[in-house]
Amino acid sequence: MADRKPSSAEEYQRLRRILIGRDLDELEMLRARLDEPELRSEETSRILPRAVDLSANSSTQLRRSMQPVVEEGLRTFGRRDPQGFSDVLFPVIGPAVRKAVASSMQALIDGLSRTLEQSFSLKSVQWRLEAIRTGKSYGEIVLLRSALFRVEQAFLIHRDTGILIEHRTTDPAMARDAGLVSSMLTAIRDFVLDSFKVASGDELETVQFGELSIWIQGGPRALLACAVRGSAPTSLREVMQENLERIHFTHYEALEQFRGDVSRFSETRQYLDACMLGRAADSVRSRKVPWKPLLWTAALLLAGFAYWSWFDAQRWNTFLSRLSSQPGITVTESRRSFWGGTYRVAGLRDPLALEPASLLEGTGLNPANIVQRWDAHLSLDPTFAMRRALEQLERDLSRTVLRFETGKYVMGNEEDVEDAAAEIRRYLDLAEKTNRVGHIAVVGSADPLGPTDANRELSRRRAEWVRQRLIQMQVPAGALTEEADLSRTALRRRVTFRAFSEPRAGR
Amino acid sequence: MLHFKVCLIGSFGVGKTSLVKRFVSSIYDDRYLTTVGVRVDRRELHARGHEVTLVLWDLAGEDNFTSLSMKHLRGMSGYMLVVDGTRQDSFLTALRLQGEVAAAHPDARFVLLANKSDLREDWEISPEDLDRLEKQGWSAHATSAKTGDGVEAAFQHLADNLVEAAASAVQTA
Repeated sequence: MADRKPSSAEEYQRLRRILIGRDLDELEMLRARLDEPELRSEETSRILPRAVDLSANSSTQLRRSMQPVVEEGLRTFGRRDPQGFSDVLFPVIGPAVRKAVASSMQALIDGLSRTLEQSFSLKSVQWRLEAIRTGKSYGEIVLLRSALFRVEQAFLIHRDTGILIEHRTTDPAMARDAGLVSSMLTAIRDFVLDSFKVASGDELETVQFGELSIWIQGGPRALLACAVRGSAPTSLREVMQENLERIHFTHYEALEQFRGDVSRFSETRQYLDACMLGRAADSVRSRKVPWKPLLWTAALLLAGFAYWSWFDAQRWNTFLSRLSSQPGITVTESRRSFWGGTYRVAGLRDPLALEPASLLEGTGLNPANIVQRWDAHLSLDPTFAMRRALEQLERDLSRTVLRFETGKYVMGNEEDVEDAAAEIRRYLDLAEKTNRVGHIAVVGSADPLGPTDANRELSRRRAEWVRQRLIQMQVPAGALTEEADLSRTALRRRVTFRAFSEPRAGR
Repeated sequence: MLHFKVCLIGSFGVGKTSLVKRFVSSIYDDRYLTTVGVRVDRRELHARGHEVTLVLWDLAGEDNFTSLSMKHLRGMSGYMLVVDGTRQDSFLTALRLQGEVAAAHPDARFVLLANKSDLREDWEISPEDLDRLEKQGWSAHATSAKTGDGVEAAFQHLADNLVEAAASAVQTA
């Protein structure tokens, strides 16, 4: 069979070509476009911005997808070019940091405002009006106006060349050489940075000559320097920083492409003028009284004196209270000098009372600096009454005499011995009551007739006999001692007594 | 108003400071040179229809650049290479310094000043030496700080050059 009947598949293909032949060509062309990267890139670039816009408006998916890419990009930029990165951040980061600092500063200024609100003067009224007018806080105005300082010149200096871009001054005579000053300042700044080891990023911030100082604020492309007379508050630096940031913000490109043409920077004058703060120079130049150190010294001296005064009063009072607690001592008057160190005390003192000077021990007081006046008096204190009775008995006993016949050491009549024994017992008894231990020395004597040895023996035997008799008459043996008196004045045939007492041991 | 930083570079004793004194009236003392290593002066002049201020940095004469003197060059628009015509060694030093400076500051314009032209008979540098440099595109001037010969012209030449450079930089920017 020569004329083969076409298969159904071929039939279908023919039919298809008849029906959609042109469409097939277009389909082929579309496939080619999809497979061509160059072509697709070009087409995508045309629709991408629109697609991003649509996606950003309709969902957050794109943002989430892009986030890691952007973050990584920033990280790489920061690592590879830290200077460039910080240049980009400079106009932004200053205000952000300042905002945080400002809120804590605000608290300080508020506190200051409250303190100052209590003081009322013509000046404070002026400042208050200025605060209302400018919308600043009262404390801020006070910081800027009350401190004795004045910004006399402000220099805007191109960082790399040291060329003066703009300059403001209170004294037109200074303007002529400002260009040289700015260059020299740059040279000195380089000199300092190069000569002394400084951490990278550190800046020369202040140059001080007596009451004139130069404050330098550095930015990525320009420096702002202010010549300040007097002592300026630190808020001046904030003002400088703020204005330098504004200059960078408004003139960044001009600064970056600076080729010596300074006429493009005339608008920066307003920012320099904002730094020209402070009061008239006359009041600043006048010699300042160093109140602060003076006040500190005075406060220290006062504190020292207060402590010394307290310490001195303390030890003086210790002595006085010791005096008052003593029986037989009555303080009627006491005085401590204003500056301390010298004292006066007067009062009544029983002769039997303790010696006042003995109470000074451990107080640290010098007896030589104490004027004392004590009037004698008899204290009614029971201790003293008994002491006085004891002393009376001692005197009585010393007058008691037992007489012996020639050559005898025994008395015929013992009544006198009994009287003496009673008296001695009373004495010892009273001594015990006053917390003392009584002693009786029994003293024997003989007349001068006959050999001395015999007389000594006779004296001893007389004393011994009397002692034995006393013991028999209930006088404690421990309280009695005997002795022979051989002195010429005592050459009599007798026995006498010497009574004395001592404080009981361990009292 | 255009301001340009211009440095004076050269060996010790070639007459840099004297040249500056010829050209300007100074407010700073010579002591700055030995203490800070630099003394700044200024001169205003007209160049190519502009008012121009040259801020002249007179660097302490050194045969080798320290890190500090290199730092002083930063940001300069141009410089003057000063040699003492009577000293061959100062000429050789200047050629060496020029190599170092040009490498660090390729955009800076410069002129060479062969100083002490009043002592021409004692010169160790030959006119051929200067001609050779001129052929390389250098601008060389014989000057005398003592008589003032050639000083103004040299500074003027540099100022013109700087204004041209600034104008072309602005155009390309």
